Amino acid sequence: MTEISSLIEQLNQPEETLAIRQRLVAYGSASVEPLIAICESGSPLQTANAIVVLGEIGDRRAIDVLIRSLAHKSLLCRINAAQILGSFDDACVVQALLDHLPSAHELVQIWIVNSLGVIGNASCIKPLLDLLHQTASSSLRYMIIRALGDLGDPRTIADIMPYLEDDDHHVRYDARVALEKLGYNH
Amino acid sequence: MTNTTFFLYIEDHPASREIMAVLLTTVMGYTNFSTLDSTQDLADNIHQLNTYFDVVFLDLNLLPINGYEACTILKTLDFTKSAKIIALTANLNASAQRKMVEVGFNGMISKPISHRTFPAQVARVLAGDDVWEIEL
Repeated sequence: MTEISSLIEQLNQPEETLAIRQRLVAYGSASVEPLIAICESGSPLQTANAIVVLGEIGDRRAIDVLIRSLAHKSLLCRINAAQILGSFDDACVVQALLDHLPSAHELVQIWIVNSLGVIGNASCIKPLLDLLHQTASSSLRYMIIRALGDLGDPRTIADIMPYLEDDDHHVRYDARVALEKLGYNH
Repeated sequence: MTNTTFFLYIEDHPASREIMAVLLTTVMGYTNFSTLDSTQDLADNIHQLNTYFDVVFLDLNLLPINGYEACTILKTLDFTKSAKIIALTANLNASAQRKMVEVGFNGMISKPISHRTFPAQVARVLAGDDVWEIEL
């Protein structure tokens, strides 16, 4: 068994995974294929840790398995995949995130929204606005508003304005910050 | 360490409590994790848990008293007065952080919490470091 294989095996043990993760990141490109393989066949904990390591390495070979992990049976794996995919500015990543956005678990939606804001592709503005107007989750509302501020399209100002009066103070705060980013003067 | 460290998370958002439980227990292997879903009857509820906590994660946007007031109370209770109290908040800004320092928080971690960063942050808290995400 190689050292990389041994380290990946240990991703299944909760203790010391932080140190194991760092050692796998240090291997860089050499550990990518074994990590991808374990995402397909490992336990939920191994897969969740492997996804985080793949994100820290940032190798584009991981994109396909990360997209498939958006549908993983483990919530943590889906959350991690949604977060890590934000590191990859790629049309197929944006499309996959948008495909999962409407029906994902709320915690996955939050990270999808965060990733869409980081990637900054204008095609996600309408789906984000649609979700903003229909969600009952204040956490999701402020994350969407934050992403819209990062996306920087001033045409969204009118959509964000009503959230200055939202019941949730986090939403009101992020609406003020986003509007400032978009150039709105009170 | 994983069996001798006691965590409390006070949070009204069920999904946030769920992911915290997964990260602390499944991912990091800690076994002693309690939750409260509000600050209603805070002192009585902590007394009923009958546990000397090492770390309290505290949402700021709580009812009927907010996280700042709750931190002040936690600093007076036998079961939590020696704990590291860490704010979990979506609003990362310097003025909020100054207020947290004033009332006795030992750190602030941004929400949503992340598998990528959270284990290292917990390790720093347990090593005795204050954990702040903004340089004041």
